[in-house]
Amino acid sequence: MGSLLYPSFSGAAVEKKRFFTQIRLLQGLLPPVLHFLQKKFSKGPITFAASVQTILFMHPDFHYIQSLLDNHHTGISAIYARFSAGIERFVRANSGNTDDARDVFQESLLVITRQARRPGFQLTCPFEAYLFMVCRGRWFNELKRRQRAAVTIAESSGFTDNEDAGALADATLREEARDKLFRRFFDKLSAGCRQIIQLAWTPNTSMEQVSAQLGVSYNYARKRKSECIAQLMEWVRAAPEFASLR
Amino acid sequence: MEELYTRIEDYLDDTLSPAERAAFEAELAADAELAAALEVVREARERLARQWAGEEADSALHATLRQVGAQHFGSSEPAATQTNRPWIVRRWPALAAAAAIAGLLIWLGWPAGNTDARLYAQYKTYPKAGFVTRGGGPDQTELANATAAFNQGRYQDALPVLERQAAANPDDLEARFFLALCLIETGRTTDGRAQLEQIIAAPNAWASDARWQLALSYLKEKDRSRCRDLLSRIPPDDAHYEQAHQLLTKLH
Repeated sequence: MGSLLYPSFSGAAVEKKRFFTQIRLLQGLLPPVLHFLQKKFSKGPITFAASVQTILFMHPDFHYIQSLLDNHHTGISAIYARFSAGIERFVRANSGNTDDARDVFQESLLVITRQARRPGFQLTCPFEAYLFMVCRGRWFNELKRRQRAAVTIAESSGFTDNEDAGALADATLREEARDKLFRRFFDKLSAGCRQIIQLAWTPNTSMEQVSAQLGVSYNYARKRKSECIAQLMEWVRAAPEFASLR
Repeated sequence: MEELYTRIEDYLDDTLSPAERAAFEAELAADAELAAALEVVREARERLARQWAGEEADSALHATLRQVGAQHFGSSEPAATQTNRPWIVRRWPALAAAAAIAGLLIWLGWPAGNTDARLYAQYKTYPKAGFVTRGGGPDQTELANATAAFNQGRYQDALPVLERQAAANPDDLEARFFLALCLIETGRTTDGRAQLEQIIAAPNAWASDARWQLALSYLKEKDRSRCRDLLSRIPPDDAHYEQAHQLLTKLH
């Protein structure tokens, strides 16, 4: 027999609960769906079809990703309110302090956002599990960087292991590391090389425009660009991570 | 080597003629080294262009994350070397600063101001509200909401309903009395006092409370002279006479 304080889950109550769960699910899906339709509808049938496919397979937790993509203050506050305590507990239980936890959490959200900007990104697992696995991976790398003799992370602080989250987090961290590899060697180039490569590789920019902008001849611009690219490629391909991060 | 990358770039920029393109693709199919070089350039272009395009958004997001993160993560515990020292040694700069600030406040006459504020807090008590409709003005639901708002200290919420009630029913002294309190609480002290003075002007059930609250409104502003003057005019048969006498003693 249920009471007002402790209602029993009779058939009607279960139906009601299920109904409200579905409503909440739809509420979670609606903002990202509208956002996609608004952004993509005008970009042609192929892009639109891809967007529809993305929507159909969109995870209900995608609204967290959308908040990050939109730099939406309230949504980001909700991410911190919901998940920061668990990550802090995890980092503190694994040789870190609160400052470490704050940095790991912040950097992981940035990495996830960059990954979400890549074409074809799909959230295939709960956001919480994905975030935790990215934080876990980053903290593991940080401990290795600090040359801890034996890095073992066993503490999961109540986060459930999720195979999809592990795979997505691995891909995310690998992509981030590979991005950094190319960026590191690009930044090592001379200022002149960086300028010509950045101009030439900006989408929809021709070499005629690059040479005009730099005030040099077309042939010189092409030659100089090729020299700079050759230097960049030599450094990148010689780096040990180039093969290991595949 | 440069010539290799010139051809790769021309291919990726799609500036080759159809014949040149077909020849290059045939070469790619036959030469694994060339195909590998092409893929690395393609990858570099994609990765770097995406990073440049996202720099502004990254910067804005980073600022938000730092701001929100500061609210959700506290600072780390003090280092072990600090915790081993006695508390008074670790805290001496803070203690010295606190002592200096307290000395300055005393020198500036802080005790008198604080006494006024403390006395005001001690003596300020409001009767419980219970508004009823008098014909015209807000309906019963609005008055019930205003009653709840006033009794919960949400004076800003009660204020507009009471203003309408007092305007529609100028003889409703109860509404005008509570309106005066809301006005004082929300910073419109002069308007609130004007209401109280009108209530006091003629004998009625709310005059005693109005006189007492008027005196307190001056104590709130640390105007001891006006407060004492009003308190001294409260007659011995007034419900607030005892309180007024006590307060006068403390204010002398």
